[in-house]
Amino acid sequence: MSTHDDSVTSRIGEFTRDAVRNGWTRERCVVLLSLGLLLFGVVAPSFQIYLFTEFLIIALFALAFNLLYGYTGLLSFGHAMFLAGGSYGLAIFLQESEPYVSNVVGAGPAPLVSWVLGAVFAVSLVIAMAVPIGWLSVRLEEIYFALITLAFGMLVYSVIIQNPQGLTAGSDGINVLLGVTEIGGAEFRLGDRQIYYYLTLGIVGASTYGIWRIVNSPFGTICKSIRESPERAAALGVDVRFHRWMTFIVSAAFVGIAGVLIAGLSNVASPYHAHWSESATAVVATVIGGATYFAGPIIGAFVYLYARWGISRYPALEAHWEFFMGVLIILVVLYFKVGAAGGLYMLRTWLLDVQAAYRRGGANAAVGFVRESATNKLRRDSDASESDTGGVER
Amino acid sequence: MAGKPCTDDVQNGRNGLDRRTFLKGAAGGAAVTTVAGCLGGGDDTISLGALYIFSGFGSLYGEEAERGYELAVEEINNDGGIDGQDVEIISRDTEGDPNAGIRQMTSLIEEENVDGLFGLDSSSVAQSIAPQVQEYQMPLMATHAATPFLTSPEGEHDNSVGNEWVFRNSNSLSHDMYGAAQVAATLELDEWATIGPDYAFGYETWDYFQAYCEGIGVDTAFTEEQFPALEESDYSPYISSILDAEPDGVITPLWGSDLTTFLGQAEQSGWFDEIEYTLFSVGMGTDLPADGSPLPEGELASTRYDPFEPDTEENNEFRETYVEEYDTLPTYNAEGAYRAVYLYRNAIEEAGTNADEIRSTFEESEHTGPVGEYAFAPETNQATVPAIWGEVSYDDEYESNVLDSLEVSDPSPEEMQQALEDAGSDLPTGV
Repeated sequence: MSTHDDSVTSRIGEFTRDAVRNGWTRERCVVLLSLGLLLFGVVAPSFQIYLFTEFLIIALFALAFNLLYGYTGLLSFGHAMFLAGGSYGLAIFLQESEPYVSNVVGAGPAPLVSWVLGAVFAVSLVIAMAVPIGWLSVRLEEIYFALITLAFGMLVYSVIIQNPQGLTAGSDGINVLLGVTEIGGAEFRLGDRQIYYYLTLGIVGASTYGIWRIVNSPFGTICKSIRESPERAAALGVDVRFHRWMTFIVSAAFVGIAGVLIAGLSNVASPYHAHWSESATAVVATVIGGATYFAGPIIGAFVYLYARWGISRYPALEAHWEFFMGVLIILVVLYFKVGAAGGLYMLRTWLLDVQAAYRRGGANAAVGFVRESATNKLRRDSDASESDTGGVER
Repeated sequence: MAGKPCTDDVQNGRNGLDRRTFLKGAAGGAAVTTVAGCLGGGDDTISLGALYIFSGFGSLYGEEAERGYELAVEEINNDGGIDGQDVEIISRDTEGDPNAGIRQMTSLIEEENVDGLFGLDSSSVAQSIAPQVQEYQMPLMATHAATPFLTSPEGEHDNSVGNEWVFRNSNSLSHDMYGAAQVAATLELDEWATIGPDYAFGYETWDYFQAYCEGIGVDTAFTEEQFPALEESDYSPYISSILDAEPDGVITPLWGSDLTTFLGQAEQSGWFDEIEYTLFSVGMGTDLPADGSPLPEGELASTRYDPFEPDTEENNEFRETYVEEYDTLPTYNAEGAYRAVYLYRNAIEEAGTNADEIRSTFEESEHTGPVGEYAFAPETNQATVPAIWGEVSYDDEYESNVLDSLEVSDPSPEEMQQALEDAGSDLPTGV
C-alpha cells in the first residue's frame, strides 16, 4: 500500500474536508462515532463503561474470528485458545517478570512497562501457537477444519487445567492486577475503569482499522476468492493452503490482542477463556451480526452482550437467560439470514425508499409505499419457495 | 464498506435511580434503545446481591441456595424487616465463569447499589472476585466455594487471595478433609484412592486428604487417582481403573450432575460391592439425596451442615419450616445462604449499612444459626463451623438420605497447622 504519492498531512486534510462537507460521508460517520466513543468514557455511568469495554473486546474477538470465517470460509471452533493464549501470556509474564522489570526501569513505571512487554510477549506467544496449529489445521476444510480446531482448542484448555510446571494455576486461573504506575510525578492505575476503557478503545480501534485494511487489500481479495471457490483460486495461481495458513495466523494474532485486553478487564486469566463455549461466543456473535458484513461481528457482539445484560436486569428472565438467548439466535438465524448488520442495511435501504416515495408524492405516497412493501414482505415470507439469495456484496 | 455502523452510543440517564434499563436489542434489524425506569427497590429496601451458579451442570447448587435465602427473606420481612426496611435479594448467575462472575458482581455493586454480597459456588469465580471486593470495600460472605485459598490471607501462598472483606460461613475443603482423615483413622483401611473432577477442587481434595492422613498418623497407602473431566458422561474407564487397583476406600469429591451420573454407572459396575467404603465429600449438597436413595446406605458422606445436628431449637425450627415450605430436607448450601442473609440482618441492625461497620460486626460478634454457634477466625475470616461426616442411611419420614453416627470434627487451627507441618506439606490451612 503505497503512501508515497501523498503525504500524511494532506491525507488528513482531505479526510477532514470529506468529514465536514459532502453530506453523510463515511468520514463524517467515523469522526462522529469517534467523538461519541471518546465522550462515552467521560459521561457514562461506571458500570456502562465496564460493559462497553467488554463489548469492544468481544467485538475484536469476533471480528478477528470472522477474518477466517466470513472472509476465508473456514469455520474455526477453537479460536478461544488464542484468547486464552493472550490472557495467559500476559498473566504469566506479569507473574514471573514484574520484579525484574521493576529492577530495570524502577518501581514507578514498572506496571505500565510490564503490561506493554507482557502484551507483546502474549501476542508473540499466540503467533507461536498459531503457526504450527494453523499449518496442521488448514490441511482440512469445512466440518473437518471445525473439528480439528475444536480439538486443538480443547487440548489447550486441558493443558491449562493440568497446571504444567505450576505456570497456569489450573482451574483457578491467574489473577491479573494492573498496579499503580508513576511516571514523572503523575500517578495512574492502568486498571482504572476510564483509563482502561480508553486503552481498550485505542487498541480495538487500531486493530479494527488494521483488519479493515487487510480485508480491503489484495490479501483480503484473495481470501474472498478462496472462500468463493478454492479450486478457481488455485487455478489462478493462488497457493490456497499457504494463504489460509497466513490468514489463520493473522486472525489468531488479533484474537490474542483481545485476550490480553480481556485479562486486564476481568482481572483474571481463566481456563474458561480457552473453553469451546468461549469459541462459540465468537461464532454466535458473528452469526447474529452477519458474517458477510465487515461490521457484522461488531454488531453481533453488541447485541449478544447487551441482550445478556438486559436479561440479567429482570430476575424472572435471568432465571432462564439461556432460553431467551436461544430464542434470540433462532429468530436471527430464521428471519435475518444476513444477520443484524444485514437487517440494518436492508432497513436503511427501505427508509431511503420511503424517503424517495415521500419526495415524489408526499405523505400519501410514502404511506402507500410502506403498505405495499409490508404486504409484499408478508407474502414473500409465506411463500416457501422464496429462498435466501445470500449473495450480498460486501 | 457496507455499513460500518454509526453505532448508537446513547447513554442513559445519569441520575441516581436504583436501576437503569439499557436494553439494546435487534428488532427488525434496528437497534432499539429503551430508556430506563425505576423498577422498584429504593431507599426503603436493604438489598443484597446473591452470586450463584444458576445455569449449566452446577445449577443444582444455585437452586438450593435460592431456597435458603428466599426462606430467610420471607421470615425477616414478615418479622418487620431490618430496622423496618424490607430486605431484597438480587440474584445473578455467575455461570461458573470468572469473567461472567466479575461482570455480575460489578453490576450488583455499581448498578444495584447492594449493601453486601454473598454466595459463590465455584472456587475459581471466588478467587477472581476476592481481590475485587477488597477494591470496592464490599463485604462478601462466601457460602459454598470451598477452596482454602479463599480465606488464606494474601501472601501466605501463591494462590492465596484472602482479605479483610472476604468471609466464609461454611467450612472449607481443608477442614472437610481433616474430618475425612479422622474418619480414615477410625476405618483403618490399607489402601485409598480417589475419583474427582479434573480441576483444582478435585486435586486439592486429594492433596489435603493425603496430607492430613499423614499428618495425623493414619497408616495407609494412596494407590490410585482418577480425574475425569467435568460433565463427563462415561465414567466406565475411570471406574475400571479404580476397581483394578483394588483399593479398600475411595474418596470422591464429584459433585453436581457429575455425581448423579457417576452414581448410576458405579452401581452398574458393582462398585459398591467391591469397594469397602466410599466417602462422598459433596454428596449432601443438593436435594439429590431426597431423590429416592441414590447414595448407597452404609457408605460415608460429609456435610457442612446437618439438619438434625445440633439438636437445638433453632436448627429444629429451621428444618421443619424448610420441610414445610419445600417438602425436602435443607441441604448445606440452602442453610449457608439462609444464614448469610441472617448474618447481614444482624450486622445491619447492629451497625447500619456502612460496609466497614458490617465487616467489623461480622469479625467481632459471636454468631448463631441452624449450624450452631460460631465466630469468624481472626486473620482468615473463616467461620469456626465443624466438618461433619456420617454414615449414609435412609429416612422414611423425610423420604431422603440422611447421615447417621455422625463424626463431628472441630479441630483448632493449630491442630490443623500441626498436621500439615507433620506431613511436610506447604498447603495453607485456610482457617
